[in-house]
Parts: sequence; C-alpha cells; structure tokens
Amino acid sequence: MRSLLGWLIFTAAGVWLQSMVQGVDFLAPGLLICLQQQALSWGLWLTLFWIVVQEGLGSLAFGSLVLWYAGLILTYVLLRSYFESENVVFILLISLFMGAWHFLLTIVMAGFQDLTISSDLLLRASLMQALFFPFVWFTARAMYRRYMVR
Amino acid sequence: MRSSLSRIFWALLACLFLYLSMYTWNWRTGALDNFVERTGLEFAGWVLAPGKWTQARVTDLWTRYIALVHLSERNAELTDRVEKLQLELARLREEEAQNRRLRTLLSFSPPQGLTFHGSRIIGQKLGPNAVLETVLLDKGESRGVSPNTPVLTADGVVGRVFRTSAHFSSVLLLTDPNSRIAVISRTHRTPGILTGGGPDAPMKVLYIPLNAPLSEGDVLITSGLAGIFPKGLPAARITRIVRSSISLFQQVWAEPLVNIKTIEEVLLLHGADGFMREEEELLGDG
Repeated sequence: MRSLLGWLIFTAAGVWLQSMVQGVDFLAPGLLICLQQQALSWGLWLTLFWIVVQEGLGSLAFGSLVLWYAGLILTYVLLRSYFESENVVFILLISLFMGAWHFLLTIVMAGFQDLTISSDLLLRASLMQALFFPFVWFTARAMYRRYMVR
Repeated sequence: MRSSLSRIFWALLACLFLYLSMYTWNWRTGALDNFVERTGLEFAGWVLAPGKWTQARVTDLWTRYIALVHLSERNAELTDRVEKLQLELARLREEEAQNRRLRTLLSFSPPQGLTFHGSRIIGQKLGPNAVLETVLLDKGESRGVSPNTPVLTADGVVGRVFRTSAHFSSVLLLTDPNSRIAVISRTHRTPGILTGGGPDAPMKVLYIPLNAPLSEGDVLITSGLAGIFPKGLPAARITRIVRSSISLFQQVWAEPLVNIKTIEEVLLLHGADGFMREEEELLGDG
C-alpha cells in the first residue's frame, strides 16, 4: 500500500514537472530505480501505466514510448555487465544515453509520420533530458529508500 | 556462449516483429491511439487541474477581496465585455464586407448556430513524446469538444483541437509547423495557406502567386475552405512580403494575432460543422 501511494505521488509529481519543463520525461528514472531495486513486477506495471499516460499526452502515434523505455531497459542490462548499477559513471552513462536516445527516437518516429519538428527545440529537450535524469533519479532514490522500503 | 547469443538474437528479432506488428496494426486502426489519448489525457488532466484550480482561486481571492475590491470587479466585468465586443466587432466587420459583395445574391442567408464555450489552459506540451506545439484544455468530449473543433480568443485563432478525452483535450497551436489553415487577406481577398514556424519564429503564408495583391499589415482571416474553421475568423497579420524573381510564389511572413505565450483561457467554437455544411450547400447550389 505504501509503495502504491509512493509511486502514485511520484507519477503525479512527474506529470507536474513535465508541465513545467517541456519535452522531458521525469518518470523514466523511476523505472531505473525499480530495476536497481529488483522490483521487477512494480517496474513492469509502472512502465505499462507510464507508457499509456505519456503516449496519451504526446502527439505521435502509439509506439515511441515502448521503444523509449525498452531502450532504457536494454542499456541498463548492457551497462550492468560493466558497472555497479548505482555507480556514478553508470548513472551518467545512462543519462547521456537517454538524452541521445530522446533525440534519435523523436527524429525517426516523427519522420515516420511526416511531421516537421524543430531540431533546435529537440536538441534542447534532449540536453535537458540528459541533465535532469541524474537529479531526478537521485531525489527519487532518496525518497524511495526513506519512505518506500521497510 | 554461442547458443546464448543466438537465443538473444532470436528473442530480439521476435520483439521487433511483435513491435512492428503492433505499430502497423495501430497505424491502420488507431485503436491504441484512441485508448491512450483517453486515459493519458484524463490522468494528466486530473493531476494538473486541481493545482491550476487552486492557483486560480487564490489569485482570484487576492485580486477580488484584498486588492481594490470594487474596482477589480468592475475591471473584470468591463474586460470581459470588451473581449466579447471585440469578437462581435470582428464578426460584424467580416459580415459587412461579405454583405457588400453578396448584395445581389438575394438568396444568401448568413450562417447561424455558432456558439462559444470557454475553457482554461491547464498545461502545455507534456512528456518526451510531445513534439507538436500543443496546450491542454480542461474541456473534453463531455462538453461537446471533438477533434478539429476551432479554438480562438477574442483576438483571433489559437488553433484546433487535436486529441480529446472525456474531460480534457489537447490543441494544436497555429504556430506549429505542422498546422495548416486556409486564409484570405481581409483587404485584398487573396487566398493562401497559413503555416506555423515554431515557437518564437514567424509564420509563413504559402502559395500566394507573384501577381496577387497583398500588403504588409493586412489581416489574414480564415477562408472557410478547408472545412475546419468557419469563414472570417482573424488568424494573423502580415509582417513581411518578398517578391522573388526565382519563385512562382511570394514569400510572405505573418505573426499570430493572439499572444500564444500569455493566453490562459480560450473559446471553443461549436457548431462549426453545421456552418461548413451550410456553406458547402450554398456553394453547391450556386
């Protein structure tokens, strides 16, 4: 019950933050925390829920958020072979990947739909994604340890 | 090791196949899009709306009861009236011009049945998937909003509804590069297509022939030809015209009449479908 409430508050706070910083995903660090804490069933259900929320808020056809979170999981699995999952380098590499993945994925998926997008704005959003990711992860992990782990 | 790599390869291939199947199925049917836009918009709307509501109530309380009670109320009343009159004036101006041109067509009857509905903006483009310039409104299908419902303020067009859920909807702004609005210039009646340039960038008016009359400062109004916006809504003002000798068309830049960054409330135009049908019938009869 405590976990459910905690994740609901995290999701609501993430959506609020997203309304203030445009084009950035504030929920993805939550998935990283689930993977690091081996809370895989939470990770699965939360990812499904976040995909529905983020796809509904977005303006592309359904599918890009599936690849977005799949990319995070795949990178986590790959980097886990070389680093401790809470190592600073690990988090920085994941953050850099998320920034680059945001740019690449949006360009490709918008291209499929023949949409015109501003590459300057996209680049800015991707940089913000890479910049915010470690801070959100750090704050969320501290909250998780304090309030959600017995 | 080799069999493990092979297993991973086949698993990835299966995932890719499943993903592409889902993507193409959704592309054809729109089923998943329909589902997520209803649930996603609803969730975000219910998360964002209480905060906006509280903010609005606190601001309202401060301005109405603490700072200059009567003056503030009178001011709000008059501002509201001015906005309504501006909208009415824009409509009457257009109707006057239209009447002058169509005086001989005695059978012409002016379109009726347009109604306006107020709505509050509760969010802007949200999440990593929001690549278009959009805003989130606190009105949805339960209040008669549907995709392509025109959105405007007393000053001019804001955009059109892009996605809807039961209680919320998102609006594609006219400044987005993917927005296309059929317009005509108010003075010269030259038609064109108004397209956005992105935030902080001027809009462009496309497909205006080199010899078509057009002047800087002229207001562009919706032409009603695309079937989404009724005729006569002010949309933009021409800021720059370049007549190039190497192009068949003039290069025309425009600015929106609405300050997109500062708007908080908008009007949703209902009954525009009926308006368009009536226009089409008239054209058909003609």
